Amino acid sequence: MKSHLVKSLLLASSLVAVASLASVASAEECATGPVTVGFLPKLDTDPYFQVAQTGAEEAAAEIGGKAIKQAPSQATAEAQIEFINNLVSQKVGVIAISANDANAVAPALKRAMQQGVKIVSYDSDVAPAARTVFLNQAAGDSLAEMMLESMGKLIDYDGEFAILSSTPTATNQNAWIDFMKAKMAAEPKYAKMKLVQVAYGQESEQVNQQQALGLAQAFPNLKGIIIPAGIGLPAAARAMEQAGLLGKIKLTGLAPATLIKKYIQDGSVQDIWWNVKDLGYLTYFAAQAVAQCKLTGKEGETFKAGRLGDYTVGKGGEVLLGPADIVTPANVEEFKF
Amino acid sequence: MAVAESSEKQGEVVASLSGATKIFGGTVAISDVSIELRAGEVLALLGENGAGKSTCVKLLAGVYRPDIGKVVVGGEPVAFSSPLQAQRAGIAVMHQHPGLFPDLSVGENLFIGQAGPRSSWRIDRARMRSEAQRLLQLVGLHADIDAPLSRLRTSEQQLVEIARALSLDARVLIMDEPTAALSQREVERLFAVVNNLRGHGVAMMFVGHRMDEIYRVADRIAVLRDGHLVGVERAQELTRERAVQMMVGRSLDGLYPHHEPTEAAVLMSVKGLSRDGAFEDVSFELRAGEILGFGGLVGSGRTEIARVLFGIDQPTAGTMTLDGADVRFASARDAMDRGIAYVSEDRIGQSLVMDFSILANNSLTVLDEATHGGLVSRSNELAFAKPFLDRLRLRFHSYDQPVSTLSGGNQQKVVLSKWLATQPRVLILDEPTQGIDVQAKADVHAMIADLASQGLAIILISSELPELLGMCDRMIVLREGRISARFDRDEATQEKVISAATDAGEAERDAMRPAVGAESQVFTPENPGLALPRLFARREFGLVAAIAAVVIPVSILNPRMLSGANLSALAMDAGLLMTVAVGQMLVIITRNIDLSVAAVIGLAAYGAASTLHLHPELGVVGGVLLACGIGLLAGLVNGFVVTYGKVPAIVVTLGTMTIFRGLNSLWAGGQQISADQVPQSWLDMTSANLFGIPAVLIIAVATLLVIAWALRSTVIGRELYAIGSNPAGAQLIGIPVRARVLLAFAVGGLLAGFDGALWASRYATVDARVAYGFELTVIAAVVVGGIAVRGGSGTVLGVALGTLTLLVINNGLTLVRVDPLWLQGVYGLVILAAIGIDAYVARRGAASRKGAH
Amino acid sequence: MARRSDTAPDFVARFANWDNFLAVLTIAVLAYAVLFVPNFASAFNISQAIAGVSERALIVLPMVLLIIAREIDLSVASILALTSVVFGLMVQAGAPLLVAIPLTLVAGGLCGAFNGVLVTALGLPSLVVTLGTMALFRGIGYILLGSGSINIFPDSFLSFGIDMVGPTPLPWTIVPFLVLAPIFAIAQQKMPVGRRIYAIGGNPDTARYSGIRLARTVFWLFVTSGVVCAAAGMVYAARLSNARANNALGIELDVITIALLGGISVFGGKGRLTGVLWALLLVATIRNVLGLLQIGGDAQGTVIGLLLIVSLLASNAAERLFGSLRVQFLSRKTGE
Repeated sequence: MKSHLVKSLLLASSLVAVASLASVASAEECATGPVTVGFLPKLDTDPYFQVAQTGAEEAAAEIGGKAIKQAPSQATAEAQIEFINNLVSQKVGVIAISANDANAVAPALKRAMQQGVKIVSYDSDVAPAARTVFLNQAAGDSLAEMMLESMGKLIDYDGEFAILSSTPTATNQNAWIDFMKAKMAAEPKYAKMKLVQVAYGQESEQVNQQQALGLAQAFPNLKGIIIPAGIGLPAAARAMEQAGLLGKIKLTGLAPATLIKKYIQDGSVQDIWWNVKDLGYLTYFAAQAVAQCKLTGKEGETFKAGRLGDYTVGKGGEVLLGPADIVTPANVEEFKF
Repeated sequence: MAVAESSEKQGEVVASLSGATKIFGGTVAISDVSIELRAGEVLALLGENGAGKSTCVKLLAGVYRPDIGKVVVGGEPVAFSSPLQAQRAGIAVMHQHPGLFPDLSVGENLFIGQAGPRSSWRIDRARMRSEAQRLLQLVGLHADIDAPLSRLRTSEQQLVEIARALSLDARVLIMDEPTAALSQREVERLFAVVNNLRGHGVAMMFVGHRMDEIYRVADRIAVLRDGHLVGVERAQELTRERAVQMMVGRSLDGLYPHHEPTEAAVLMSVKGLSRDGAFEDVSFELRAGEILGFGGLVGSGRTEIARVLFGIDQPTAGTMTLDGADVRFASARDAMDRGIAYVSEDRIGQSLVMDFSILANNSLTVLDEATHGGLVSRSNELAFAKPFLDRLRLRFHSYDQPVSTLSGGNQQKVVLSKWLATQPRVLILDEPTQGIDVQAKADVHAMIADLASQGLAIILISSELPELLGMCDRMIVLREGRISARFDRDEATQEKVISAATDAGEAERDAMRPAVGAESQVFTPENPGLALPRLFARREFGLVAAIAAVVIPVSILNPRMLSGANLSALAMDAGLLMTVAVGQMLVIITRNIDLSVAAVIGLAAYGAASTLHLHPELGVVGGVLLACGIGLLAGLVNGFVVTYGKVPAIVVTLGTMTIFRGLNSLWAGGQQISADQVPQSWLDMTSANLFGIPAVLIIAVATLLVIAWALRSTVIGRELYAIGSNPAGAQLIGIPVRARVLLAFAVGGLLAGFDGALWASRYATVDARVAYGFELTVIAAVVVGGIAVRGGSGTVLGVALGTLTLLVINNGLTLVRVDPLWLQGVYGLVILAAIGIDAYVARRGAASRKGAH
Repeated sequence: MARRSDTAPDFVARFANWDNFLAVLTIAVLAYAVLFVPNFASAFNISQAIAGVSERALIVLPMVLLIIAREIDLSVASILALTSVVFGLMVQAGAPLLVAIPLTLVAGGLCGAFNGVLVTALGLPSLVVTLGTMALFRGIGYILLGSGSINIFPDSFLSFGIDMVGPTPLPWTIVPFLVLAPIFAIAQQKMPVGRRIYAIGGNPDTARYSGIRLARTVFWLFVTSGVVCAAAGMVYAARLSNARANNALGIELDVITIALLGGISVFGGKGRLTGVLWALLLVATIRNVLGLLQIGGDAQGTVIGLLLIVSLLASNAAERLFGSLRVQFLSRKTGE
């Protein structure tokens, strides 16, 4: 037994020695040409990120470089950290991450930056110190306001409603929810609306359905649910339909238009959406700009994003894709996703 | 007894052993034994412990095959590859330690495993009942046929074993110590049956110890000694004295070391020591330097006394004093600390750890002393081992070889050394030379005498008369829990001891006084009519009560609980969970577990949905069949690795769980199949309603009913329970264990696959993460439903109720707006409560059935 | 008769066994990784791979002992999560590290004691008990902290979670394991308590008849497991600067897989820590390599699961072969 212990110690220390010899990348390095961008979505099974990736690939075809994607099987920070490390080891130029947990992934991202990898975030932000720019689909408060407004109109600004979010730590959803609460407190027109609970669908079809149903059962006077999570809105709609509550409880939120088309067309659900592919496209361009040190996240900087045109960096390093649209029966066909 | 009117004429040889020799390891169990069993005749087999009787029984029963010689049945030599074959050849055996199934009912125990041309795959309950009634009446057992066997006392279980043997269509009946646990009345009953069979021309063999019984029942008597057949004579012509002489007939001279009795003070004294159901009113004194023998038959209470002296068991009356002060030992450790050592008669089961080396076994009793600076020191260990092993002249290769590679005699030397290392003052030896070769015996005897002369007080329990007589200064003889005689060395003779141990010399027999070894008659069986519904009521009723306890208050707080929408959703959830839970139940009944069910659901769900997306022409039926096929395949993989690969189920299914999830992930490649990508008919499958009840629930309930029926009314179903209840026993009576377990896994997988189809239909959007973590919910539902994790018991109704309980609690808490995250904690409490209650009930049941086992 | 060489350890036992097989396999995989997988052998990659298994490595230490003693603890991940929540709450309330850390360990010990009491005093099977406490402990975590998280920790704590030891690529988070592993190994192989555990697993009756206190030993094993899980909980919180009730979801099965792969028999009484260490190294390497090859998450499980099953099938076959060989070899020697 002793020999085993000795053997394993020898092996471990030889590995460590070999690794120490490997060069450490310098902290500051500007790429001279297009680099590989590693996209790290929240979850591998979310179609949202598949579509965003097609936009990134379109951009890669245009300006060169490579867009790869690695996603965790669990929507947790721990899983994402493993992939952050993997991407760094694969020596990508930039990591584009949509975070499951803004703070938990920050140390790993900082470590990545030390290794010379640049970080941008998209869709769901991380702690600002851990990234250069954040590509947001739409202004957070604008999205929140649109959702709140949509719900208000549906329930005549009066009554109980709930929110069905994704995971408890998701940065983007939490930001929207905070905006909504602030807006409700600030503006008198929302005075008669009451938020009774925030539930979590955990990015799972089954959980979303069960939570939606549970909300309906637990709050007999519930008049509507806001669902700012892509998988959640169609799932909740299905659940309400099965329970026969589809007209009674109004649904609105953010969801891929194609998944909710049926319910949009019969008017029972409202949706606010944007062109997801464009987000990926934009992120790719931004990432390349950051890699080549052309973009440092300072407010006011501008860069060109191919066919989408020029973009300016806003406060806190945030770049907005553009305003979101309300999906109506009239324009629902325009949305490819 | 269903006996074909025998074609054998009275006296014709039906079965025999011809020149049979059997060797185990290095020991010769029997050598060149030839005995004949004749139609209409009872042959009694007499002999001391270790003479080879049980080996003869096992050869005829098909458990072993002779190394030399043959077993002959009906004039033809046969080679039984299993007990089932022997059974088919017409040999029925009443085993001494019945391999019955505690979880099956009395009636089922009578007939399980009897596959033959007559039986079908279905259980004919009516016929079984009538047969069972008849058999039980025959042996005089009043018991509820439907009661689980575990509720019967040991003597009653023995009667079931007897009845079981009688239920076979046997030409040959072998009875191995059938009366050991029976009362006089029951014994009479048995003999009446034997006489009946005699008239029908059945050839019988009776192995026993009680001379009185032997002489009543036997036509001829065969005597074995040290594995050899000494002689076979007609009972009428053989006097008891001569029989005893044949059994023991050795001279004693010069075999045992000389030993002077001592006059030292009394070291230990025992007064009126009793333990209910084991022994009564035992008193003796033990001096330093003397060897006190305990004689008597197996089961007379000697080992039970030793265990009380050593602190493993507690006495129910009487006192023990050591050095003049009263002592009470709460554990073996206590006794050891006071200087008592006990060398168990069960060398392999209680004295040695077979995987340990000689040195490690030796140090087991002195671990703390064999350390140096907190670490076990090899030199200290050797210091403890070498002296005694050398003195005992152990034959071995190295101190580090596993004891499993030693012969019996050398193993015993290690055991002795281990105990001597504790430097005891009182050494209790229980059959120390049983099953070991002559040379080793001599070494052991020499050591014992040596120890006595050094001042150790020794109790020597032995069934070997020469050993008792040669080694002991004094001896007490026990019979059925009481001291029947005390002898000094000078006055003892083998005949006297055997007389005292059996009833060979007893003039009277108190016919009504039960043996202390049998259960105390204070226990009165419950009225069988009420007992069954009462027990049934416990588990399932408790669940119903739990459900009500949640539903009622919650409905008051939030009437929505009983609303159509809520009940409908609940029903669908229940349908999905029940379907897969009942599959898990099948696996758990056989004493296995399947952790991969959720991964199978996911794989099947994704597989079906994605295939339907690409080939919608398959339709709903095609999709369901595909999902079931995936599940079946997965179940077969699990089953094969468990049964033929011999890897434990928990390990296999842990591995396949991750494999199937991984395959699911690779297949899906991050894609989802969303609701609009599959045919609408697929989605409608689960939204269908029948009179307002969701189709999913109806399908699930139908499945449960089918399985409940199969478990109750088919032979295969009962065999599954048997396998979980007593795997070794199941193997022994010829149940094809591997095939059945494979079936359980296959069906479990199939149901999981089917559940996957339902899941995909209900939840519409399917990705690689379907049912993640669901396996724990499934197992929780099964556990809460009362299915024992150790296998062998559980009902489908329990599964259904367990499922409902969990879901109702979930639903109820949601409806009263308890934070959904709290649900986890509640689930945990529910599981713990369920198994806690199970354990409590089981303990109460065991306590109410006092008695020796 | 005893011979002179008989006091030296048995050669046959050392020659052909599971640990060596694993060692060869691990070294082969490592060699393959270093040579053929690009970017594997960088300081960064190796240090992160090691950091990633810090908690699993800790938890596997008591788990091995439990499995050898014929018990199991499925609640380890939940104890990790709960104690990390407790720790986070204490830090948030202002408790200094010197107070919070020991108290957290005590909390873990209490969880373990709860398991231990249910198993020893009430005699319930540990599989089902820890299935229940797995849900219960995490549930308590949710009750204490809800779905939120605590991210603010003292800098010293966080630098423990992030930094490397000096100039080496060894992260600080693996140091608790490096300190405890030799202690566990020595306790297991060389101390009386280790022998007792092996005896309990090898033959509980013999252990009891030899004066070993089963209930007490098993109880303290569960307590130890709880304490080590609490330590792992703090390491986790430091590494991810995150204390949440759903930390480390699902790693109990990972840990059990590593233990079983490492040669610990599920029937108890057999297996050594060295094999488990090789298995740990092997699984970490395989996962890392697969990640570098862009195979992620659940798909990695396919390889690990296959490895587990195939290795056990192979070991069964090998056991039968070597077992019979050894008996022949030895019985010839002793002339039995």
